Amino acid sequence: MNFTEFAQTVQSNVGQVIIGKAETTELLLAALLVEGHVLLEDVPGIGKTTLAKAVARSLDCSFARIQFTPDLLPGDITGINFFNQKHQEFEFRPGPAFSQLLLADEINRATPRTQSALLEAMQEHQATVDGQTYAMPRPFLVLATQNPIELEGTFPLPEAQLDRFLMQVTLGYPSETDEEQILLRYQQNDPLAELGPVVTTAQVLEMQQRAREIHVNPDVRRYIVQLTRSTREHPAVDLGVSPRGTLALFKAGQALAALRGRDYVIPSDVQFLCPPVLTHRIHISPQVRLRGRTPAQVIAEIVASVAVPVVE
Amino acid sequence: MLLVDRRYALVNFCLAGMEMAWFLPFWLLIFSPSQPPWLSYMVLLAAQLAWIVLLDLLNRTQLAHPAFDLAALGLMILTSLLAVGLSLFQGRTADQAGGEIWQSLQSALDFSKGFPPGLALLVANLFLWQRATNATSRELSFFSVGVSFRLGLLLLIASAGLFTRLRGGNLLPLLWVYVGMGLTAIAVARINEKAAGAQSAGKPLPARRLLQLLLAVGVTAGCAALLSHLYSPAGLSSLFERLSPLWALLRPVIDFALWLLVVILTPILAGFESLLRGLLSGYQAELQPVPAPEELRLPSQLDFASRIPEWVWAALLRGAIALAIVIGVLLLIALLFAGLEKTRRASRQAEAEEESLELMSAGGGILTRGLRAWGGALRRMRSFELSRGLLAAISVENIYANLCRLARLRGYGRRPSQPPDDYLPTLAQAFAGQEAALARITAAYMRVHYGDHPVDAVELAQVREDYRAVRRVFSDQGPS
Amino acid sequence: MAQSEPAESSRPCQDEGHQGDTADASPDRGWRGIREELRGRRYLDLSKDTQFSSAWLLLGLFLSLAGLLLQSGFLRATAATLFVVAAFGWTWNSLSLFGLHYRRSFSETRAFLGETIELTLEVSNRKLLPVTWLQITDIFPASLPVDEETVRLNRSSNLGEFTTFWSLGVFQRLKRRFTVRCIQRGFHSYGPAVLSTGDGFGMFDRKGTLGDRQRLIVYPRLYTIAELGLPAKDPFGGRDSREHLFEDPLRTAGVRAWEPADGLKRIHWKATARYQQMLSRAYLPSTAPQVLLVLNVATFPRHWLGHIPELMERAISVAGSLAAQCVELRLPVGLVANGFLPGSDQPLRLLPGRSPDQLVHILELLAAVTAFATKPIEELLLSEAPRLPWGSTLLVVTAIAHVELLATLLELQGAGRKVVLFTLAERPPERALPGITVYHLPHLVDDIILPQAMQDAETISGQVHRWKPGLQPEARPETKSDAAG
Repeated sequence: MNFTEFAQTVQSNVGQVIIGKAETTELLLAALLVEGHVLLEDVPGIGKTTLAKAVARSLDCSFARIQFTPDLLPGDITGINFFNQKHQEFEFRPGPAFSQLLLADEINRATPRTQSALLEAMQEHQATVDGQTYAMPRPFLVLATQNPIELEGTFPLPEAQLDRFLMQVTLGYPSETDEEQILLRYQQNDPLAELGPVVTTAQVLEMQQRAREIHVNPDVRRYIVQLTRSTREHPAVDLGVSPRGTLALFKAGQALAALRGRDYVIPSDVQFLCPPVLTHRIHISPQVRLRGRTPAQVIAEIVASVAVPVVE
Repeated sequence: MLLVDRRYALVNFCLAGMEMAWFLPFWLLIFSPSQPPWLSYMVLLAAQLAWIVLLDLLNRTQLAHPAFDLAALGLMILTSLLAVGLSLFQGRTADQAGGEIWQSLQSALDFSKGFPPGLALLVANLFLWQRATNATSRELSFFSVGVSFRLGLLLLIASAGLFTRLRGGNLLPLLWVYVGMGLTAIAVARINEKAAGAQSAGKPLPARRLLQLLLAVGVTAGCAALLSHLYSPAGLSSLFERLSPLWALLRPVIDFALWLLVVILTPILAGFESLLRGLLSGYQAELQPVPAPEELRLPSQLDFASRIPEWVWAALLRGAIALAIVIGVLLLIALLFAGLEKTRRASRQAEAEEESLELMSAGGGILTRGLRAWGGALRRMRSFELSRGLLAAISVENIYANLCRLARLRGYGRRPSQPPDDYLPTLAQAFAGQEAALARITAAYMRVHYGDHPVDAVELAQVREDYRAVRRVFSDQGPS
Repeated sequence: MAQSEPAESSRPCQDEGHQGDTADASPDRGWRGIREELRGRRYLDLSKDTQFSSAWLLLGLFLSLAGLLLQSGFLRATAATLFVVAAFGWTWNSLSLFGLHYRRSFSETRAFLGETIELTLEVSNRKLLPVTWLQITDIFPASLPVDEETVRLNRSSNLGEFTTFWSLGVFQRLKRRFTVRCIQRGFHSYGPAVLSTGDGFGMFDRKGTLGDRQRLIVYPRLYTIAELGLPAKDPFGGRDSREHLFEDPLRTAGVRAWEPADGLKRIHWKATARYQQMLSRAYLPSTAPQVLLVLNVATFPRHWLGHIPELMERAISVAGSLAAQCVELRLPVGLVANGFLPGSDQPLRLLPGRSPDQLVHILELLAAVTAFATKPIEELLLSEAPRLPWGSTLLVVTAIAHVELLATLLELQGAGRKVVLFTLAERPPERALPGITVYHLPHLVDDIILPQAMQDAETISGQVHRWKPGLQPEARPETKSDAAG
């Protein structure tokens, strides 16, 4: 199976459940191919959970959902060693983090300590419970959600933790046509329940391996570095993109090029990925934020100011 | 000053021209035109403008009450004497002219031989003085200029209508001059008034916009002139006959109405015309120079225009034509230089932008860019080796580079941050009808430049053919 | 930069106006003028701003007939000229608004009090006809002056009008820049704009309206912590909760015997294994280090006594400054105020949060809050305090520290709430406020001249309390002269 077939098959399968969000699905698949995690920031009722479930079912992956609350403990995520009185020994009960696709709902409602437990698992692909290390399954993709309409009692992820997410994506409201289509699609039955896998886990792992071989021209490489370095020099930015972010952009570019049927990355791929990959990694100064400018606007300015490598 | 202040000079000039335009037929009714009407008009306009300048200067001296009046009176006497002397007593010595002028003044009220020329010149000078006085104190608002235009048009209709009826002749050019000057004055007055009511930059209308305004006025007057040729009974009749069914119904009604008007108005108009002819015939005169007394008989008694030798007129005309040509050429050269300067400024600006962009993209000076280009060449050699593939890759890149350059010449330049695939729709706008060719070139370029893929001979030939097709479009349409 | 870009608000003009004066003129206006003229009375319609009237066509018809009758080419040509000029003027006027674009943009859409921003007006004429005159009347806030220009106040609408004049050639674009001084806090609206233009000959005119509106938000001035006189460390006092109502599951104090109500995650498995009996964790009490700013917009104890705008502005600035401090200290901060937003009748309320945009939201609310108090501040405190989680700190900002407010604060403090008072009153509270941190900030209002009456007396509950330095307040019955004064 080549990348184009893979992308089309999964997207069309997911498209039976999620209508009009092909671009978001493409970004999720790109994140999957580079084993990166995604932060979905959107209002309730948009279809974040449905999207995660649809992707999980399409990929024949195990799926778990955690609803984050202020009293959630780290053990509720990674698992606990409980004492089996019958056998008089401790047994490890893995938590929901040991799923191939994990949906962490409203991650900003948990305390920082609990958030860290998940984030470490995301970064290391393993969890340590009572000194014992357990590896995460592969593929391993975390979809975390945040509600942008701030309610009291939330703990927004700090910048250092946000950096661990490959992308921050918003779904947005569907268009009028799409919303009508949703009503039609869900009128009689639940398409999610009827959704089945279209690719196997082995195929996903193979795609992940092959994505690393996508060619990145030195000019494009330099372009990526110039973009991320520009974020550090921009006057409105207090904290620019880290080298982790540069690497994230690089790898995401490879994945996206592969999904679009090319074996090389072009500058358009990089520009398309800049908003989801870089926006959440920069911290703009409070004065700039008070003037009404957002990180997305700053990233757009930076993309518009860096020249694309073209021979002229 | 009225004729120097750029904001009001044009309005004052046009108003003066309009006034002379409706005054001229009245003047010509009294004095038959031995010279062409346009010459009379130019003389009157020059005299009016001279009066305006003189009164403006007099106002600026800030003389006190009796001295001011005396100075004005002195000017009036002097100009009257000049007018009478130049028009009627040419070739005389000063004391001879003085004596004859005195005699002329004594017979100023002698109407037995028609309207005394001296009196007519005095009255005309007085009129010019009065109009000039009005000009120095008049309000140049849109409303007042509009009223002047409408009233002057009515006066022009009356005077020129009477003149053409009683004397014959064609005063249509006077109408176009009046309309052109009137519309210009109104337009400029409108602009000045609106600008004063708002927070404008306070500068007078730039030359370019003034030219556009004058062009609009010229087009309007030209169309009016054109339509007036068609607006004749024959023309109207042929137009109405095209609406034959409706015309067939309306014609009897219109014919009856016209017949009725003819029947009612003809006696009234005929009576009025005969009255006017009677009035004017008694006072009609020729404005000719007074023959010299016998002891000072001049070689020949010629009228005003023919006293001056023909060769003088011819020389003046030739001189005027030559001057006009020289001014025209100078204007053209000035426009050309202005255009060149603008182009130079634009290219300097583009160069500066490119320099800054080069700095942004390359992140360094010429040396760094040179090293980078050398490194790129080496990398290309490594990718394609020293083979036809390398040459093909260089060809494709050069073709794309030329394509971008041609598009830039047509005003569709690529933004530095714009990738080739994003730039494709703009290229399609620059070279309409070549979308497929442009897509192939762009795709080939991206494969070569970003993918380091070799280009085979067939594809290279196709790219070259596509480029030639685009070049033909460029050659046909040229740069913008 | 305006977000209507064409943000930034560049839109072609929609013609809503009339064409010349004929559309608005009453049918017999032209005839009335003639009748008046015949009666010997002058009739000049000074409201008329254009040249064209029905007299043009009538005169043209008359000249046509006269020319036909008298076989005069000149009269016919004059008639043709009148028709052509009128037709050209009408056509030019019809197309005058076509292809005309007006754009208003700001260098910043938000600014602090006292700052200046650059306003750019851009007009472009995208057609082959020149626009010889164009007058644009844009609605600007009268309270924000434009340097070197005049914003006229329309007395009937109470809106500011900024009129500019433009003259554009064919396919020409012009830009002008102005400096706006942000000298008044608030949400300031720009637009709509009315464009007036017409043909170059003054025959007709027409108007069009661009309904786009833009907003400029002027935040209140913020004081630094030094200007406020707050200590750098723990400016709002230390936190110490002794209540055990709420537990923090992340902070274990010890173990206790398992109870049936305890969930699986509460069980301390290691202790259970060690002691061979089910043991549960005992948690430390939970406190939420939240801060709620409570702003009193009133400047007199009773609203009928009046209002001192500048004093209220200083109080708002103090509230904004405290919010900025809280955000800097990474404390979740919220805002309630007894003033309300324009168009609303509810008190202002923003729940505490620590999102990056929280300070922006607070400053926006403070920029918009009006002076009218929906309820006394003490009532607001009593209604809002119970909604707050335990451990929250109340920062009360007020220009006046009247008795009812102080009593309420004491009541809240007695109930266990942490309260900090920031007062801009002329004198600090006379009565003792145990357990409440009080910051008296008269230095922030030194330059404001207060009304003489309030410097001498304060009327509360019908009794006049005369305050004199060093003396205890003495109450006396209200007299008629006091009530009148």
